[in-house]
Amino acid sequence: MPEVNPPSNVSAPLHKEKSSSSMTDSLLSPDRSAVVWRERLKRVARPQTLISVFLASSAFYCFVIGRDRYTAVSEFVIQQATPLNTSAASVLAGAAAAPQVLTSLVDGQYLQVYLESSDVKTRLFPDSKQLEQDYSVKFPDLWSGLSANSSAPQQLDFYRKQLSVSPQPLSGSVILKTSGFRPEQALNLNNSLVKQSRRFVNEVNQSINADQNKFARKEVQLAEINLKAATRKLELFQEKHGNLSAETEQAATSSFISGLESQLVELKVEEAALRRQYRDPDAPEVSFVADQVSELQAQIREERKRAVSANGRDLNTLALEEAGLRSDVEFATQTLQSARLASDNSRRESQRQLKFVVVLSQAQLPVAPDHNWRWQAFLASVGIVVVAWGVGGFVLNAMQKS
Amino acid sequence: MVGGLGPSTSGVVVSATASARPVLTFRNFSLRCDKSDPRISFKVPWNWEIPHGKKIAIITNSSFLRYQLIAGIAGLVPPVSGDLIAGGVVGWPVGGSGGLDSKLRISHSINFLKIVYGDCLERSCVSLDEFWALLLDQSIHPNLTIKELSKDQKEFFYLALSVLFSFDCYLFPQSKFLMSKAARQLRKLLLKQVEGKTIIATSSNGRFRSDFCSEGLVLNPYGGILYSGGLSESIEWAKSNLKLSDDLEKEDEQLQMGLDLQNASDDLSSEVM
Amino acid sequence: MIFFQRLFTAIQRQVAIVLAIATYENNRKSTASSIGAWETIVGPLQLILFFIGMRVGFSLLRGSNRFAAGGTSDMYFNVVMFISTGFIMVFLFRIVALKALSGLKLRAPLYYPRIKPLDILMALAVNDFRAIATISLGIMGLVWLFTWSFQLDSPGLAFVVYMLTILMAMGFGICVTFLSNLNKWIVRVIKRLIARVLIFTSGIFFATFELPEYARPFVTWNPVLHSVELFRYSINNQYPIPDISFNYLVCCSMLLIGFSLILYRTNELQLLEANDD
Repeated sequence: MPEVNPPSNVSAPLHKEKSSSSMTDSLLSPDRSAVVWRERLKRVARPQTLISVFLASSAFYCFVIGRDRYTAVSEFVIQQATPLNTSAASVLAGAAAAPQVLTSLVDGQYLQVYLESSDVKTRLFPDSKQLEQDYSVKFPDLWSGLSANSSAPQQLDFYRKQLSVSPQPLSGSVILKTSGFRPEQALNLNNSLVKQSRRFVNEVNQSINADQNKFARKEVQLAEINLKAATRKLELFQEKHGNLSAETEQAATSSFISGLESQLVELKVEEAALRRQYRDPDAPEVSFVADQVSELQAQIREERKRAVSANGRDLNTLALEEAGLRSDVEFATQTLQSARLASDNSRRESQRQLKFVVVLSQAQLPVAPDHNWRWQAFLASVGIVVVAWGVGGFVLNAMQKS
Repeated sequence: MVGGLGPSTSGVVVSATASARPVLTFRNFSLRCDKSDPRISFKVPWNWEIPHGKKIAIITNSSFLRYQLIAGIAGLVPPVSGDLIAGGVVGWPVGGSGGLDSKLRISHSINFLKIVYGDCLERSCVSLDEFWALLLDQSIHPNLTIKELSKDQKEFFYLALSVLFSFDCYLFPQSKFLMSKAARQLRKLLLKQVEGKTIIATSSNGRFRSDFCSEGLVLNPYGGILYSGGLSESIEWAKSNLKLSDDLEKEDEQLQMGLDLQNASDDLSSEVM
Repeated sequence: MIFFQRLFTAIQRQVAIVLAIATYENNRKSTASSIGAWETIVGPLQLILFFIGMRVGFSLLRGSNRFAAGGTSDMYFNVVMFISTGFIMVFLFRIVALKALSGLKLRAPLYYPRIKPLDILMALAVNDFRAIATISLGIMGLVWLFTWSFQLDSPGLAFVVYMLTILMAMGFGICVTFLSNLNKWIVRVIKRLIARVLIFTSGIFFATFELPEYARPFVTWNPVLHSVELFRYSINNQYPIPDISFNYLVCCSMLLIGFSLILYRTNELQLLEANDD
């Protein structure tokens, strides 16, 4: 709905008469021609004329000059290999599907950024001259295309305009649209982008998995070294202390002492009995046993002292030390075991979590040019006029309140 | 938009083809005849037409019929039955004060009418400059709002608006102000403007009739055509056959609108959820 | 050829008349209150700011959850942008439809035989469109300025959807007005429905894809939802619109406007009847 400016509408014939009459006069004096031109300019500068010119040129560009554009569309999904434990999947399919879609969506979003990066651009078009040549500007349409000697950001910008990657949050698939000035151009770009995505997905996954594996293996190695060190320490200790276990020795000593003590108790009982038998406490039988008792007591004291004293064999400390070393070895063994398990798991998981780009619909060679952009652009210019008219009219009106 | 394209809408018919057709064609046309009972209408529906250039003074006893007739032709009240087909631009009642909001400025109102009746302005023999000069004589400035005008100024302004545009058919429900001294200049311009145009007048002012009308049409209160002919003969006929009451002279009571055409003040935008 | 010329003149005059009435209304308002013609945008602006405040408040309370199952609208739109796109379309519909529904408030111009009720309706629609377009451009401009990311992927679609919504609103309003011939209560019920149900089923606060699949049929009957979602889609082509179709919107608006014009032809003055509660 172009701006209709009724006052100027009404005055249009008047203008015309004036200008035509002054045109005949213009032959008479040079001053008049300036007036005529001003008059003409005024007529051209009317909003109605300007808007018609704008719309006409937009239509002319969009439907006549504009180069054909071709679009190729492909759809693919980034899919993980199915989990191993799929027994419950049939019952909880809905619940299980959601995270699957979600991971695909996140992958799709990464992919979107990746495909639009300059890295991929340089990979696809290593030679920027070649890019310029492929998408060079052709005569009637000087607007679209890539001009010669364009800068790198310009090229990247142009490259980004040629493709659109849209991950679908509901299905998890990715729709890849590419455009080009020739059908093959669009198709080729699409195919090579799919190839790039495949490479991206594999590369990323593989490198992640490789990292994980490497870490796990390193852990195993570390655990092995630890175990070896602990065992070695224990061996050294045992070698130093007569290859005997301090604990058993300690046990032997204490049983020896307790044997002596029980013998002492027996002797003491015997001595008490003899003292009752013989009135004389110094009878030779009695004193013989009493001597034995005191000897035995001295012997026990001696043995006790020997077991704990520092210059003796100090069996207690040795036993503690040995227990520590033993638990070290035990721990290192456990660690190694779990590290091996983890490493094995990670290897298996990485096999399982490998992702694939599954192409749902292959891009086809476009047979007819895509007219969508023409309409979009033309309607956009109509929209600009309408919105400018609406907003401008409103604001102007509101401002001239007084 | 479709509403504007149909042949039955009076305004949008292009004037170039208008002269070929009669200005007004009544087809089975019938209006209300009784103020209290909406079911009472014309005894015999009208089926006739008014060609271009006829200046008809309508003579009838019933003031309600006079009002209905003008309002019906102006499209302010719907006919009880039948159609009214306009072959040209029918103006609003001359000097009528409806239509413009009292909050509008003079310049706003004139710009508005200039757009709506732009084609009538092009054909008009009164130029805008002339018009503004007339208004300024009455010290009506473009920046005033209508409610700031005095009663006389208002009447002058509304009459001047009717004079400014050139219609194919003029409706005169009243002529008191038009025939007063204050409106002498406007009267002159109006006489020039209505040359060759159709006039339908229900005003019973004698001077007005002799100045503006050439034919008379005598109606009974139920729309029946009793007599039609030259103006003076019709008046004579009416005088002798109708019991013309005196209130005819003070006919200029304000034309009451059949529909409530006042702008309501409340606005929806203030209404929230 | 003459026919086309006549048609063209008629259309041109029609447009001129509608615009003149629009100016008339604006002028009337501008002298009426102290804030003048800005009054038209103050009401909707208040409401939209309230909605945005509410939504932003809720999302602050809830914490942003960008990757809820299936993703949320935050992934595609700024919150302000999201609400205002919904608001713009729904209120455009609501205001225009209610204007037709509650009878013409602006009726003085009908005194002039050239002006028909439909002209006034269109003029009021033009004014509303202007006011809401001003608001929306303002808000979008601000958002674009702050985020510095201008995005309008399919401007043509946006324009078409916008126009279709205006048409649909007018058609709907007129149709319902004529329904009121049969029963006044219908209009009252529908007015209430528009005011309340419409706001909550038209996707001002939610995106269709955020709803679970079984809940969608409860809202997708609403053509305004389609226009809201399509408008959002046209701004960002990545925005998913399941169960939303452009054809449905076109069908609805064409049916409504066609019906309303047929009804309008038969009884024009019905529009003047006030349907206020």
